[in-house]
Amino acid sequence: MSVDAPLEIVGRGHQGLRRAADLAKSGTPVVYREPGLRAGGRLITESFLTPFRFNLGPALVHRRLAGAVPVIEPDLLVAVAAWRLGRDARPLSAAETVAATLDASEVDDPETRAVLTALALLLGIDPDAPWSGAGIVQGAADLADLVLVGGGNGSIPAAWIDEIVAAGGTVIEGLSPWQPEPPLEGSLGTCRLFVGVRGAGPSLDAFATAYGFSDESSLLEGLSELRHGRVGSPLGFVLSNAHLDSTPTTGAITSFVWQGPVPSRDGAFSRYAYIEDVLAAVGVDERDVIFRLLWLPAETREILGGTPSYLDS
Amino acid sequence: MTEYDVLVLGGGLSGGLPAAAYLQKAGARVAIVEQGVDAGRFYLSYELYPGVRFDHSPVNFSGLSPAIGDLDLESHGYALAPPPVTLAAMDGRGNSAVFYPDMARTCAELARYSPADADTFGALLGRLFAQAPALLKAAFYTPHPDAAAYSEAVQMTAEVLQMTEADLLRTTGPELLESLFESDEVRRFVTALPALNLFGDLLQPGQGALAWAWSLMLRAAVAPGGNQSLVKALERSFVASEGTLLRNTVVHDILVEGGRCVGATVTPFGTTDVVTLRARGAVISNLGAPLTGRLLGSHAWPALSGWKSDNRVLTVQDLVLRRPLDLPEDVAAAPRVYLVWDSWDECVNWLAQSRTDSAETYFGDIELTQFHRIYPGAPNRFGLRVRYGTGPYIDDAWDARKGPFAERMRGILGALDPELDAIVEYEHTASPLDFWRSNPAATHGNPIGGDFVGGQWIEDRLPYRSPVPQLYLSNAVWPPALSWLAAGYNVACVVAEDLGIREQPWWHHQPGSWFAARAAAAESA
Ligand SMILES: Cc1cc2nc3c(=O)[nH]c(=O)nc-3n(C[C@H](O)[C@H](O)[C@H](O)COP(=O)(O)OP(=O)(O)OC[C@H]3O[C@@H](n4cnc5c(N)ncnc54)[C@H](O)[C@@H]3O)c2cc1C
Repeated sequence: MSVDAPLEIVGRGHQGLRRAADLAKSGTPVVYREPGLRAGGRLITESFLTPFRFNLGPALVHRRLAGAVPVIEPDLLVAVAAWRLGRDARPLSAAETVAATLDASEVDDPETRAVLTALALLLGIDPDAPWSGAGIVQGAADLADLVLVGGGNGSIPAAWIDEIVAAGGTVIEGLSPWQPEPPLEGSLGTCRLFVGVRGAGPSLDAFATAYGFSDESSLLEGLSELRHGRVGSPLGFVLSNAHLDSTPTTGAITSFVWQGPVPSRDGAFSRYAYIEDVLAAVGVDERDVIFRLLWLPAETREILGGTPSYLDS
Repeated sequence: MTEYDVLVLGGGLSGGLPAAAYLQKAGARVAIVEQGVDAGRFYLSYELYPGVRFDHSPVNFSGLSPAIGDLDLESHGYALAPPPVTLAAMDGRGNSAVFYPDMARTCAELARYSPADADTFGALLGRLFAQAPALLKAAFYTPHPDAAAYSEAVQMTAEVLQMTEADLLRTTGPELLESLFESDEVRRFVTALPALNLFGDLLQPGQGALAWAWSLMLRAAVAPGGNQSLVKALERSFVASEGTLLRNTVVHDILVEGGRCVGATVTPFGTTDVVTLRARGAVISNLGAPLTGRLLGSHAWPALSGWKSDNRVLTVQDLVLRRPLDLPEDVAAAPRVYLVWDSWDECVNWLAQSRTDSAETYFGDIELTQFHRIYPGAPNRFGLRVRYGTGPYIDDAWDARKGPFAERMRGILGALDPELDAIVEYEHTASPLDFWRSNPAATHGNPIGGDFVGGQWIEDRLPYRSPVPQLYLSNAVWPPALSWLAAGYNVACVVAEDLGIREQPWWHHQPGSWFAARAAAAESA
């Protein structure tokens, strides 16, 4: 039997880790080195110094990715004003932009146009971007397969790492904490505000509840304002985190994530004024806030583009 | 239904995780039931912004633990290094002392206040380190209560302090310091760490002197991969020897049948399934005394519910700064800086106050961790942790108390650096209630599993072997939790003895052997 030197893999993304797990299971000796604090790319669940769990990247993942990790299927994915999007949408035929795709697919009613345009935004698709039509076609087709991960997205890389280690491989994390990132390309990016509150938090009747727009045209207008650097009343979604809130020992506490498009340029607007505006918009009293942390596009590294950003294999 | 030899409830860093890793490596089939994605809830690391790394528990004592060698943690990705500077202590009058791993440098610092005290301190540490492996073994890495080991530890400590055992057992911490050191500053600076109440009430006769002397053995190192790399290495050592790590799984009940502990019922996070897990040989509860009592229901014994975990808790303030805090140059090089009392009288009064329910205690012994000194990161953001000296839990009103606490602390830091407000980019304060909310095993957020001020010292801690056959405890035992992994080591020893698997060729490292190996390597170089 030949003793091969282990295969060295240096990675950041979740695909690299998954590949390493597959190789390890098939008998290849693997050493996986993650320069950052945690392996798994954007599949990270973080508590910071709080009783909550937050997915740092997109909350929705493709069912395929989860493997044996338990998943949850939210009944209602998107709520815009009185309109709701469930877990399936009619097939769409792609044109250049989202609106053109809806036209080409003869989606006429304002409800469906609003929720599908909102779905695009939720999935990190800029509805005006070229190829965003293809993006929403893909997103709508995958709708029934988009799930939430029971213990948080970080449970997936944790399972892969256990597989690598159980197969005799090694995973080393955290040894080079920081490398400069290239500047972001694109005018709008996704921000995430992680919030934990005392009490019940905002009332939500879908996984993602829209704020700051009520239909397709007010959404597109809002995005156009943002593209010109005008950050007015917050536009985005409150994402439910109910699947990650465990029962605390003492009193009810709730967490949620605000996800919204904002100018991607550093210093384009005031971080703290934005946080205040979001909390006011969603009806959370500052005095109930246990934790709040805003990651701007420079930190989420998510640019609004033409393709869906949910995590896929 | 699934059956194991050993079931470990709660994969805490100090107790459950090392215990499971030892027993699995020794050949038992072990499962850990842990509510979190990751085990070691209080020992994880995180980044408030990418590249700005914090540790939940910043001080790393793992170099003292035999587990580093026994479990071969370095082969599981754990790296540990001695820090160039150990810590600094500074008072409000501008006096300070920096402590280095190099004893001569430390003595030179103390000699600025008293050459005689510097000599005393150097000689005392020399004698202590010569005894350290045996003393660590007798005092901590033994499943106490063990009268013989305790008396051996007292005897060794008396030798180190050059006093009789009888005198030692009559002496409080302040009395010992007053007998050893003439300088007001030296007394205060060498009390910064023991005053955190890590393992003893300094004002109790005997206990106070022992707790102070033993705290000098608490040598810290740094883990460049983040302190959570210790959690990860333990998890991986466990999984590599085919242990079953049930992440995201919550324990509901501990099962007792026919007078013996036989398992637990659990629920995987995000489901409503109730699953019964059975253990043939042992159930180790790392869930703290009060929660273990609740989960045992009518099988609990009185000492569990009478256990005091309601005191000596921590408040923590994380700051992200645009530049490091402005500190004197030598102090600024230290990863940890203690802001201490302005006089010895003030220190002794504070120690007395810290046994009461006064919230003022929180502002007497403040620990700053300059994370950029440990984890060089982004050039424009610097992580600073402020840990308030241990204080009482007080009541459930911590959400409202956090704001005023944080503001007062900003005032204290602002006195050091007048531009503070302009350089704070982000701030978050976590209270004892938050720690309890995130880890129900740590009642009221108590980080070390019980209250010495409440009279729970060595002989009064809970036993590793509980009164319920086959149920063992790895929390609320002696010694207290912390990152030296002693509770997990000790419970693994007793369970392995009971299962007849204690004799293992790899299970032989001495406490402190990681430091000893470094010292030997440095000497031969
Ligand atoms: C703010 C703070 C700062 C600290 N700083 C330091 C430091 O600098 N250095 C140091 O050495 N120590 C420090 N400590 C202490 C140290 O972190 C703890 O002593 C140690 O981690 C405790 O380990 P343990 O195994 O005893 O218990 P725990 O960590 O309490 O273990 C309990 C485990 O059980 C899990 N659990 C709880 N309930 C359930 C349930 N129902 N079902 C399943 N699982 C459950 C928890 O998630 C946890 O992982 C600090 C602690 C705190 C709170």
